[in-house]
Amino acid sequence: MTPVLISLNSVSKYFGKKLILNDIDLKITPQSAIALLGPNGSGKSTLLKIIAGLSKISSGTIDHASQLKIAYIPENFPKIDLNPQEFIKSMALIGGLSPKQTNSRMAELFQAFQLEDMVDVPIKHLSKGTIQKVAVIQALLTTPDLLLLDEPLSGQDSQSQQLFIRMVQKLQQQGVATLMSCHEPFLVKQLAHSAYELSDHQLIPVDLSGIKAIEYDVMIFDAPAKPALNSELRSLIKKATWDHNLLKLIVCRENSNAVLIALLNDGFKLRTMEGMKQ
Amino acid sequence: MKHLLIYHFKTYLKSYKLLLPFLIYLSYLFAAYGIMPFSIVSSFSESAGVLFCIMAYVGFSYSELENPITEQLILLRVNNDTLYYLSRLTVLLIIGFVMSFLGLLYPLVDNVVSDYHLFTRNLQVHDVAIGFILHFLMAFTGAMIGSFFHPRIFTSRKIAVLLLFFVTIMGIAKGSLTDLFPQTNLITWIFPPVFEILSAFRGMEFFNIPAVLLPAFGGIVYGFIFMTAQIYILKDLKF
Repeated sequence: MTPVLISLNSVSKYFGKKLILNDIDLKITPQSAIALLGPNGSGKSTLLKIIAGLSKISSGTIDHASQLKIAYIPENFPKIDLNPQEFIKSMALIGGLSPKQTNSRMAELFQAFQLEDMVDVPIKHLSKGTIQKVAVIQALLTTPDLLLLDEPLSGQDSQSQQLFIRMVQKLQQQGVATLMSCHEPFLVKQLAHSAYELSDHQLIPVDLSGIKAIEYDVMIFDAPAKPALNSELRSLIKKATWDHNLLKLIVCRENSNAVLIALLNDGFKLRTMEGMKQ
Repeated sequence: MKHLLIYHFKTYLKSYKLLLPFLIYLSYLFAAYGIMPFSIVSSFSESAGVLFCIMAYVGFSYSELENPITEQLILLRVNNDTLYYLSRLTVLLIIGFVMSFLGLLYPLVDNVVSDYHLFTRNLQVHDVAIGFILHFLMAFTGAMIGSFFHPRIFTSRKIAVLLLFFVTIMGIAKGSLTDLFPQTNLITWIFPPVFEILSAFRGMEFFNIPAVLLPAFGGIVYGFIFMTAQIYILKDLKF
């Protein structure tokens, strides 16, 4: 029989009189790789905190395996006065790593996440994406039993995203259970074996085969003298950015041909085009 | 515990929030010991009373500085909430210890510089020892009261500031209030026993240990009640 790390039994949560979670049942085993979906404010972060034991429940019960090691990547890491080196070092030592292990693990992770040049900069002065890297690094210092991820990729560049996905996949292969709240379908596809949507305060199972990673094309055009994008064309474009006379577009792949033809007809000249996943 | 203490110290010192109370206390010492000579007992008592107020502020600013996200991350790592909160309060006690040391060191140095004429009589070892204990007791009580007004216990900063100010002032001024209105004695006992401790030495040329034992015990109990209540409430409230 598969051991259960955490079991939520009919858990409900109120903030004041406001119902957040209603009658939630969930079992997390060492092989679990669960994605939590749902709009902002649906209670995903609260559920993660409840599972971590950081938030009180209003009713129901929670059973934990003994000596459970939980790592947590928060959605918004704070802008603190310490620099990444000081913070990560403290986290490692507090977590029980020896000074030698701390230094080697820190160096490894700072290098992997390309943070070496910023280890002495106070975290409060770093960009959102870089701060999020610090949040990810502190969780990956040791191997936990359960990794909780709350919108882990917010603000990160695509290289860090790919690195993060590989690292979490490696942890999953080592038997680390993961529970992640996210919006990105490609992340769900790559990191989750099962998914739930928090809807109407309850957990509704989601069929993973129904979640498709949306593919995009990035196109860069030389614009004509008087560039103009009509509203019909704008509706087909995910994102448009101008840099002098260069127009960079991110377009959902199914609309790429239509956008390309329309812009070529309008006098735009295609410079580069490549595919990307969301 | 050692790494927790280092972390808390780094976080607090890097915020520079200790600088202002430290400078205020230093300025007080500079001003208070400016005109000689002084009675040892009354000057040490007054300095300890000022340290109580300063440490109440230090405790409050220290609690305010705590970030809930980093707190959650460390709690998950430590897996022992009581140890975490005790480590935070230990840092306050160490700060109180250093401030108490400063409160004694300044007049001691000043006394030497003034050819031993700072005080009305010769300073003895037991004056320094009791003076230090008095300062540290005041620092402990002040720090525990200040840190109790934690943002998770008092979500309204305005109310927390007003209550802390009220409790701190009442701790010192309750004697005058009961002199004017004796019936207020029925409720003023709930405020910190600062007045009782400091007034135990009123008019004395030497520290009288038996006279201060009961109020000092009251101060220790008072500080421990705030300390225990704070840990219990924070553990119970969660996030």
